[in-house]
Amino acid sequence: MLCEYIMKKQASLQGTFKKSFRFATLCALVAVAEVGSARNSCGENVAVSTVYFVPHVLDYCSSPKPCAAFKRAVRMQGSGTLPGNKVLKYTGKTEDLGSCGTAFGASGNCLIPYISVAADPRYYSMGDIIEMPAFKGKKITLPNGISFTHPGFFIVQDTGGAIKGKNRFDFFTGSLGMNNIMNVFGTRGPEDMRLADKTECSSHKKFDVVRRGSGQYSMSLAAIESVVNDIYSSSSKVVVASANSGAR
Amino acid sequence: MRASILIVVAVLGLLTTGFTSIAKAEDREARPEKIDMTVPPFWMSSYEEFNDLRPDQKEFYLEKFLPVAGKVPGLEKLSKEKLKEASEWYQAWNSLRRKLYEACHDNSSLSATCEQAADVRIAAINMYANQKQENRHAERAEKKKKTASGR
Repeated sequence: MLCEYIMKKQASLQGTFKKSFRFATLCALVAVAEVGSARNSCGENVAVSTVYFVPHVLDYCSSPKPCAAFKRAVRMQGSGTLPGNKVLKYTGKTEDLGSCGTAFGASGNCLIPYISVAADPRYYSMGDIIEMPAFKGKKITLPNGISFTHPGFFIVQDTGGAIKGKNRFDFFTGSLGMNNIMNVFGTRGPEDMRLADKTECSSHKKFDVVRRGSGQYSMSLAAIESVVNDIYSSSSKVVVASANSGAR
Repeated sequence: MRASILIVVAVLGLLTTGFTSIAKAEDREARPEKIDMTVPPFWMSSYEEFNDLRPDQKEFYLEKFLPVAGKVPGLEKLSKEKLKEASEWYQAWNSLRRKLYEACHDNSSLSATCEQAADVRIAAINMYANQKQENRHAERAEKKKKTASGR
């Protein structure tokens, strides 16, 4: 609208077609960019989602020694896990994960499959909880055979250079890639649980935010912790968010 | 006669009530009861968020935050030792954080400093951001953009 008005003004005032043509081209470019960004936006409370994972060497190679396929996956995903809770970075460096079996997020906490999410730190505090009611009660089975019922809550524990904006989220799916049939959030998962396609704006991606430090926070965190205890009951304790969190 | 006096008194009463409530509303606007620090903009990490960070992230944060805090009224005298001490005690960290939030909320001339403080938090968190290819490309593009704009 504004473009149209300025173009008309320019044409009438100066009578130069060239200038208004140049401006029209600029306006067209802006419009194309706007359409592009609109395509990536699902509305304020609907997640623009993707999934990410940390490949495990034994899913790619016949021995624990990193083979070419695993190294390729590590280059793509940024890191990959090795036996003995070690992580191989895309830079070639290895790091000890201690008791964490997956990877550490930017928050400093160990990432939990199907629970941890990467978000934009400009809009989210690490530890903020994203509530997605459509996921509450969904049964999820991990590659090790352990099943759990999803609490309908996710916790912000990571960030990423491409994860920008209020409703842009990248969901962590453990060692399962987006095209793996076992990945319920992946491209081959049930329709009402898929989160891999950021252009898809379905109703199951509706979310609310439970801020770390708000009154509701303790209860939502407890729901997550209860699930995490089920997942890791046989192994060592995983900290979801520091014990000082809660309403203050 | 009596009726007109009554009307005048009533009008004056209404006007006085109106003025008082306007004055009260202005006062409320000028001094907000409480700033909600759980919602963005995040000018400083909460104690819990900071507490969860890895040791090198914490070190980076404290080191970069100190010179920025020095530009904020009320925090000019903050020393490295005091900041480190505060990072280990919820009350002290929170009182420091509140001072920064109040300064940023009340003083528009501090907007650049507050943005710097917010950027320090983001930089500390992003030290361990996920490094998948898409994220690395986006980071590189962002860096290029910042270099081009001279930031």
